[in-house]
Amino acid sequence: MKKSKLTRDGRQAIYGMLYILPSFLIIMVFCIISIALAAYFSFTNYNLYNAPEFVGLNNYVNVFKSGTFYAALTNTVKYVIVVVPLQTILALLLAVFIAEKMRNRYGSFLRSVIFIPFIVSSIAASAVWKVIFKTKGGILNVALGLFGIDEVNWLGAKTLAFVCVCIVTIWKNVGYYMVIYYAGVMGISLEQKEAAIVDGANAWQRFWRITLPSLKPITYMIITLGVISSFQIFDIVYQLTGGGPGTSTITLAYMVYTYAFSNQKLGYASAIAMVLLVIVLLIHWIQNAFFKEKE
Amino acid sequence: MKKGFAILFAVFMLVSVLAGCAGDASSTAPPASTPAPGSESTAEPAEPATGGVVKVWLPPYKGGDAEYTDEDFWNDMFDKFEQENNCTVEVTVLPWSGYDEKVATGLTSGEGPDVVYLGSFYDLAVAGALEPLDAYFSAEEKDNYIYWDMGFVAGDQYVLPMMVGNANVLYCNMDILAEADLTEVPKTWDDLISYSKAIEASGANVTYPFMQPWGNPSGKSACMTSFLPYFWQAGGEFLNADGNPNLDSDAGRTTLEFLKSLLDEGVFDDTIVAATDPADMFRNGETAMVILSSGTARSITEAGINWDFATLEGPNGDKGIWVAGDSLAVPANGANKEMAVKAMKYMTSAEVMDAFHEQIFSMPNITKDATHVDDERFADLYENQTADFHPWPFFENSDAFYDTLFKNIQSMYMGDMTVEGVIENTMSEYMTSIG
Repeated sequence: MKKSKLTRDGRQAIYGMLYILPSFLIIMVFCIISIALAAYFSFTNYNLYNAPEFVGLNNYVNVFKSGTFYAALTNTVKYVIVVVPLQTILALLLAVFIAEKMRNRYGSFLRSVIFIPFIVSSIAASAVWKVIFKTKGGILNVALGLFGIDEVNWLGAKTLAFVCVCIVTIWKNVGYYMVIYYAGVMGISLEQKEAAIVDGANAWQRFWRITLPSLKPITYMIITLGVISSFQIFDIVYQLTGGGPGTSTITLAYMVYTYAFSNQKLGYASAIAMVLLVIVLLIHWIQNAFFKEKE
Repeated sequence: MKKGFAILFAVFMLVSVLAGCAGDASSTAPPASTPAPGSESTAEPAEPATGGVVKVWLPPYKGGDAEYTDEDFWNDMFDKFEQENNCTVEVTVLPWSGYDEKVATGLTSGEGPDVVYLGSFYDLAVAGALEPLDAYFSAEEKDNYIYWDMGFVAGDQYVLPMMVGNANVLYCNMDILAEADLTEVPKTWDDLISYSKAIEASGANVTYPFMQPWGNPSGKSACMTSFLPYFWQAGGEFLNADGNPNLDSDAGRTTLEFLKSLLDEGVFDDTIVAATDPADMFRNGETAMVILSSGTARSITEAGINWDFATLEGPNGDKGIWVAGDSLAVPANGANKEMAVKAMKYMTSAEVMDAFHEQIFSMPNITKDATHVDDERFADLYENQTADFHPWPFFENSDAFYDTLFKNIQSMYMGDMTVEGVIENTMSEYMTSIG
């Protein structure tokens, strides 16, 4: 019988490669090639119907000349700055509260209720929120009216419209991040907490000295996911405000969609997408460096 | 490395959408058997084709909660056509929201329609995405279509006008006007403002005396009813000699200043930028005056509103009434073009359009042999005022232009932009967008 020439390590390496091959192919086809194509289109005048023609840096020059681009960039950054910290803190507090104070069926119920918005379609949820926020006859204004409060122009005032988009996003995402935090909190050793209690640490000190440091890797992951998804905000803006009023809630991803599919300027839209890609990579690199330094 | 992949995967959703749309551009080219655009325009069409599947995409003219929907209507109508031509017609009624985007992606997917309803078609025609129709119609057929010429864009007959002449007029709730001792409809811009003030002063229970949909999800729709007519009434020609919008003009300034005065004079407040549905508000008696199409008259009457209508004139007595010019087209990459054209002719025949106007949405006839009679109150409008009618102006990247203009007018209503700012920003964004 002929003996295999491969060493044990070599065989394991081949097995390993075979295991990751399906994922690798999927990522190649749907991610790397897609990005490469978008990068290629960004240097062309592609319009969905005709073969793309090379236009050099024209699209990028036009992107950086566009006032709407700067409005979208500013809104996107503002949105990340507001949404990511709020949803992270809220998810953490809810997870800790449910894990430590509500370890019963009510806690399970509450967890499910908070998680439900995450599995609801963003478009459907935003349509419902639109009815809630409607200025004339909206549910929220009718409710406020019962307390003698004048109607609020929720989606028709620039700051309030932006706040509404943030509220709906946080409402939608917080359940998902809470579940991740909840798993982390449940994984913290009881002995550690009991020892702290014996040493006289109060609830705040236990949270600050034990819970929070133990959840640091999870926090890093949640912030990373939050930043990336916030930079891509589209569906809620599309349904709730359409980027308006004015340009007060327009975001980069919404702009990409508008130019790609409403205006059929795929080349221009791809250039915006490429700029967005570079921004996200840059932010991730800074974030990574920051957390490494902290460690 | 893993983190790198994580990031790349995260942006995947964003860019793959774009990449997924990369189609073979050659597939949009007409096959060799297609008659050359513009050729043999007076020749009789070839032997009619039969068989196969014809996919028809349309938007709805009746609400989704209607007992008898657009889809029911078209399916019933096509029964006869299917039997006569031994074919299957698949009707897809797409919602107005995002309609143009769905059509754009459908046309390039290879799974798109054989006959498609289009509101905006200039960019599609220029890009070669539509089949020239001239050679498919006989001289007699062309003569029967009242608005045939409106389908001639970008140097060829790319579309067949179908929903045409649906003039947008100022509807007035005469009961609310009577509460303010107003017995006639307003005739001028000044009347519109003074009437609004009188209605407000009368204590009438309305949200706005006069309403404009500046919160409409579609900037284009809002501009059609709430910007363009005033521009024409201000005496302007919307396109300049280069075929670009003439916003930076006296008429553009006059129009924007008038729109701003509606806010300044208290006709409405800044909540107008969130106001979306003028027809519903008017039918519910929440507004006294609103601009809507003549086709909406039936539903207004059915809602029990005592209405009359007016056509406004601008400061120098100019009139300008926007009339719809939505059309049917055949995609250039369609697989069954002859059957598609046949279906298109059937859809626009007197028999089908009379039924459509009776059962779904009342509009003026599009063929000389049609017999439907629209609301009698519009008889004078359609007989004597057609010189004031303006169809949708065609120009490159018009949707982007209207979207920017719409957003800038919203900004003006929120106090963030002046009239000059609106003009400057809209034109600069437009010139950038057309490269």
